[in-house]
Amino acid sequence: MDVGNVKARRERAWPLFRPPRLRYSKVSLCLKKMNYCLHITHAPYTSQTAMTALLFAQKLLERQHTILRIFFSGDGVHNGNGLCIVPQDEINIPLAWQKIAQEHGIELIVCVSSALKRGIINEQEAQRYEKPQHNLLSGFEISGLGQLIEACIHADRLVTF
Amino acid sequence: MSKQAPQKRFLFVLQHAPHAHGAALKNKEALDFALACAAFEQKVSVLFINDGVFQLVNNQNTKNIQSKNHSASIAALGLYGVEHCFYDAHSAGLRGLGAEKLLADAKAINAQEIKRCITEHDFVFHY
Repeated sequence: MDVGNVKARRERAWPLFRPPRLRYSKVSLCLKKMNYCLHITHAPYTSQTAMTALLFAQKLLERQHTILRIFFSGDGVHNGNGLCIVPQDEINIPLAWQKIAQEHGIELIVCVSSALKRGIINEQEAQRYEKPQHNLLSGFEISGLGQLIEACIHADRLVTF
Repeated sequence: MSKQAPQKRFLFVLQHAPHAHGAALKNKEALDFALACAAFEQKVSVLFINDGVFQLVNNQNTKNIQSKNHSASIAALGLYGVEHCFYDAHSAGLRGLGAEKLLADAKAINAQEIKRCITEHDFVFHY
């Protein structure tokens, strides 16, 4: 048996076999547009994670995908802190979230139990718990874990950062 | 959420010891999330790996560290509709934890079964 002639053997065994020829530019163009849900669990600036999530979200929207909802839980609720101040040559991550939400009509949901524990509250919560201030950035909403579960069920992809 | 919402399978992988540095809140939030999923009639399983198996140890006493004891809520996971509670037998063995020292409801599984468990679920959350 001619061991060396692999191509001829393959043709005999499987005549229809042709190795696929991928043209990556075309493949990426015909990728299905998907509906994403992002779940962010890290605070901005303490690690690169929140920035990675932000860049990922921006890239998705740039490529005409849709984002159903962005859910912040755990330390991720600090992304909704309206009192965050950064030097002028750096990106203000909470404001950047607010901007993409306004431009594309995306819901920004902050987990209520995580947020209250970390002192991220809106006007209603401040009234309810009799606190003199509130710091949740406008555009963010405080809601429960049900919002994340619902988004998991209805989105095509869930990506956790 | 509508009653007709499709059921999905959620797996929560917990890998930190209780009250460990940077993980105390995380563990609690993972449990809260698992319970919320069960309350929304989803299929939920919890898997403890690495130091996470310490969360299953019986008779924990957190009085001296002024911290809330969550082992009771782990024991009650089944009551609240969490279908399975697994732990990695290898991780438990390395830490000297026999089945008699752990919660009775938890089921030991090996690496092969963990692999299958992860592929069988629609969503896997790591804490």
